[in-house]
Formats: sequence, C-alpha cells, structure tokens
Amino acid sequence: MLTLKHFLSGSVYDNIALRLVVASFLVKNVFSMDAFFIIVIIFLLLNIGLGLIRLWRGPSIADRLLTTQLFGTAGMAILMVMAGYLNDLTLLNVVITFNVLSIILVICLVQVWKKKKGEAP
Amino acid sequence: MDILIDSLLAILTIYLAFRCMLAPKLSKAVFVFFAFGLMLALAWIRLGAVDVAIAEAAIASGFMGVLMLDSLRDFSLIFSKNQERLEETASKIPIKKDSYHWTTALALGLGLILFLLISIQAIWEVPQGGGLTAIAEANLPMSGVEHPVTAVLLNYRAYDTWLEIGVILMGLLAIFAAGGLKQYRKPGLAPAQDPLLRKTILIFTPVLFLFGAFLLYFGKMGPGGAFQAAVLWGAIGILLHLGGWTVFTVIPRRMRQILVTIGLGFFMILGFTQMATGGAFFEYPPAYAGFLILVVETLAAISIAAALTAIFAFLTK
Repeated sequence: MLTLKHFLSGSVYDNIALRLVVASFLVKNVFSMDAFFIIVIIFLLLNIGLGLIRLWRGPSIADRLLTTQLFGTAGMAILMVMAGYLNDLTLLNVVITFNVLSIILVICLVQVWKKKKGEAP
Repeated sequence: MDILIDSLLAILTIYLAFRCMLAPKLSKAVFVFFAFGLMLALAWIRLGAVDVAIAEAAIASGFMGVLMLDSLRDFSLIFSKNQERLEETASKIPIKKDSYHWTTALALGLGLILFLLISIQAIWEVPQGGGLTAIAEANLPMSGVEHPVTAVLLNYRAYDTWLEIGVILMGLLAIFAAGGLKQYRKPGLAPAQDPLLRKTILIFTPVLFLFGAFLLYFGKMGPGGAFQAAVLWGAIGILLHLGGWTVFTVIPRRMRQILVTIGLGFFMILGFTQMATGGAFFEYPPAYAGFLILVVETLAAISIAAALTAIFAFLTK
C-alpha cells in the first residue's frame, strides 16, 4: 500500500519500474506538448493583461501606441503557438497580416502627430 | 485545459469592451479599442473562423487604426484650441436635472430580459444538422476553388460580395459628397525629409504588395482572399500618403475613377454576360470558374485598395 509518506520520502523511487511509470505518467499528462502550448498561451495572455496597466495609465500617446505594438507582438506569438497547438498552419496568414500592417500605425503616429506643438507625441 | 484559454480570452475581451466604452478620454478609448480588436481576432481563431480573423486583423487594427489616430489628432487640436471657449459655454448652459423616467427604464429592462431569454433559447440547443455545410462541401469541385469560404463568398453567394464592394464605393462617394470634412481640414503633409522614414516606407511598400498578392492567391485554397489582400494593398497607398508622396491625387481623374469602380463594374458585366448566355446571375461555367474567380478577386482587390487609399487621402487632405 503506497501512501503519500512513501512518495515524500522518496523510497518508492528506488523501484525502477515504478519510477518509469511515474515518469511516463508525468510526460503524458503534465509535461506533454499540448500542456506546454497551453501554458505558453496563458502566459502570453496574462502578459497582455499586465500591459493593460500601461495602456490605461500611459501619460502620452506614444506610450499607449507602443503598448498596442507590444500587444500585437504578443498576439502574433499566441497565434504562432496556437498554430502548433491546433496543427493548423493557415493561422500564419493572420500573423503575416498583423506583422506587415503594424508598421503603418507607427508611421501614422510619427507623421501625423509630430506637427502638434507643445506636447511630445 | 482549452476552457482555461477560452475563459481568459472571453474575460479579457468583455473587460476591454467595457473599458473602451467607459473610457473618460478619447485617446484611451481608441487604444483600448486596438487591444479589443486583437482579442477579437484571437477569439475568431478559437471559433475556427480564420478568414474573419484575418479580416479583423487587417481592417480593425490596420486601416481603422490609421483613420482613428488621424481623427484623434484632429479632435485633440480642436479641443485644445476651443477648450476655454467650451468651458465658458458649458458653465452658461443651465444643467437640467433629468427626472427619473420609470417607463423608459421599465421598457428597456423588459426588452433586455426578452433579448436575454431569446438568446439563451437560441444557444441552448446546438443545431444537429450542421446547416448547409454538407451541401457546400459537396459542390466544392464544381465551384472552381478548394476553400469552402471562398467558394461561398465568390461563387454560391457572389451577389452578396458584389454588393459589399458597392458598399465600400458608397462610403467613398459619401466622403466625396461631404467635401472631405472641410472643418477638420489641415495643411497637407510635407514629403518626408527623415531618411529613416523614407527608407522604412520604401522597404515596406514591396513587402506589403507581395503579401497582399500572396493572400489573394492563397484565398483559392485557404483563408485569405480579395478583401484581406485589398487592405494590404491599400496600406501601400496610405504609407505613401503618410510619407508625403500623394500618389492618389497625382494620377489623372479618369484613371482614378476607373481604378475605384473596376471591381464593381467587372463583376456586374460578368454577371450580365452569364445571364445573356443562358445561365443565372453569377452562375460560372464550372470549367472556367477558377480562372474567372481569380480575375474577379484581383480586380475587386485593386478597386477596394484604391477606395481605401482614397478614403484616407481625402479625409486627411
């Protein structure tokens, strides 16, 4: 009869067969590729959530725009990880679209806002 | 484990939507809206609608972003100029205290409850038949393309797509008719002197063209298509306008008119030709369907791109 005490003391792991079973269980259910993908996606989503603080407080327009650029990058990363997770390479088209269009917001900010005197963009 | 991602995504999306509506400043609202667009694109991916996600990414965060930033600048200029006058007039207007309209509140509440009940009833039962998916899949070999969404958009329901191109043209005509919003007009942008800016714009122009063409052609077998490609091509015109090369106002007037209307016009001519040869409106002969769809998509993309450039060029004149 195995109890928690055996696991904690490590005495169970002396049995090589049991050690293999435990390792395969961990690989299958905890450290599998899907779980890895999901953890990365959740981490990146939480990253976006944290970036919202700067979006909300950012004193100037440029701070806010850079935050949205960060969101775009994180979103692209999420999409790429999702492409691996869902095994659907067409998601990369969305990444391309985000990627090449992100430049026009920055150039718009630089060109349109620089004429305004008094406040740095 | 999927439910974790989905619930996090849903919470962020709804939170951002509320934040966008309740933002005290316009600049906050605009940038929260960008983040909301990104979340929406991710949500569409989770729902399996990659085409919609591309359109969302291209139009909401690319084209709309530029238009919003531009109008934000106009509004902030107007506000800073008229701030004192506005405050003066605001203090003069007597604030009327709204009485509590309980009838309005009751009607609104009842309507909301009814709407909630209907929507709950709608999502309670998952439809079993799968709608028209099976029929669409079965007729795919005759449609000339390999991607069901493109087949629906450009073959089965070509009439809708044709009118959608017309809607964009109508928007452009409305801007022309309003004279390009004269009261917000500002001096034209000078050609870019900054070498960094010039180089960036000149490097990104061919990249945008290449990826636009790729998305256009890829629409045959996967997510992509005319509208998404058109936004990327329209971004070329917007970039050049931002850099001071006013390409759209330089080319001759007749040429501009042809560029803007060629998508709608060719689609219509094609439809009537099919009617004249004994078919229904937009009934492609199966042998040439693939080629015809590609031509229609290319011309539609060109004219939508020209229309988007024109919207930007004439709004920021």
